[in-house]
Amino acid sequence: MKVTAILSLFMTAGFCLAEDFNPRQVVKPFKPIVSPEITTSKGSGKWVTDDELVLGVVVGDEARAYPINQLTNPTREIINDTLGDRSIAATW
Amino acid sequence: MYVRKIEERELTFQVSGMLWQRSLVMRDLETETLWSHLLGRGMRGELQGIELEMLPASMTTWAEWKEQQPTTTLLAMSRTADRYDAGAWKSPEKFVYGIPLGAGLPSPAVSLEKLQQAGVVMVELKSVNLVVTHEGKGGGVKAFEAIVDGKAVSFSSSGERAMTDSSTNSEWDIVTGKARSGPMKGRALRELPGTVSFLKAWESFYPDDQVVK
Repeated sequence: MKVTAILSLFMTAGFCLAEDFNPRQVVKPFKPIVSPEITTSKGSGKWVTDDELVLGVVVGDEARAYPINQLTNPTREIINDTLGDRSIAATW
Repeated sequence: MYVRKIEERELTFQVSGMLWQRSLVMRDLETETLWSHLLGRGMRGELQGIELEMLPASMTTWAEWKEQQPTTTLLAMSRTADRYDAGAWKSPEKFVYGIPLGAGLPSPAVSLEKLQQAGVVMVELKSVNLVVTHEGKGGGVKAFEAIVDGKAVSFSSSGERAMTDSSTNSEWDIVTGKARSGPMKGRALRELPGTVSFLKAWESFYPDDQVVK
């Protein structure tokens, strides 16, 4: 009983160590998305509707929305972007 | 949402095509370091052990976001889905809203099922006091530090888009985190960045942290 408890403790503690980083390649790498097209909120109907979800971020006095309906695909999970004076990665 | 700059070096991330603990592994082109998307940490390569700065991002409806940020710009890429029918909200028991508080602090999470039922959920731990809110119609989730004037405060749901704190009975907006009436009127809670994740992935990453279900 005691042995099991100690073993499981070790397993839990080791879980987040870098040595345990053993990723699996499931698909080929995707081309990074850089300098994506950005538009203003006027005439945004083509890109997003009022009741759809967006991921919103503010840097300084600049705000940007990433409509989830443009991100729901493995190829779109990371958007390399620039907002205000910061280089950001919008991830989903 | 991460800052993709380490000191003066800008990084360009790509989807590596790898998974670790059921979650995305990112790769930067400049150093080829592999990064855990969930932890925001370099896992293998030159930048191993480095953590990316996380920016607070909110998940709200477009209508809500425009109202809060009238001058917002938006991404204009082709649609990949016709409607995000809040996929996660269809099986809310399989998803959590997680709040990674950073190195040395816990990373608590609340199941979307619990959020859907309660609207306002307290996460009261030794080192942190949080309130996590869900605005029913829009599907937006927000996390705030439940601390006012250095003191832990407890909130409970009190009608549409509102919660009340137990110390002063002030009414707060659950989306903006601002008090709109009562003694605390005008005050604002600090918003914390969080993320929607698979419950199982979260539990694998943070086995020692609490998931409120």
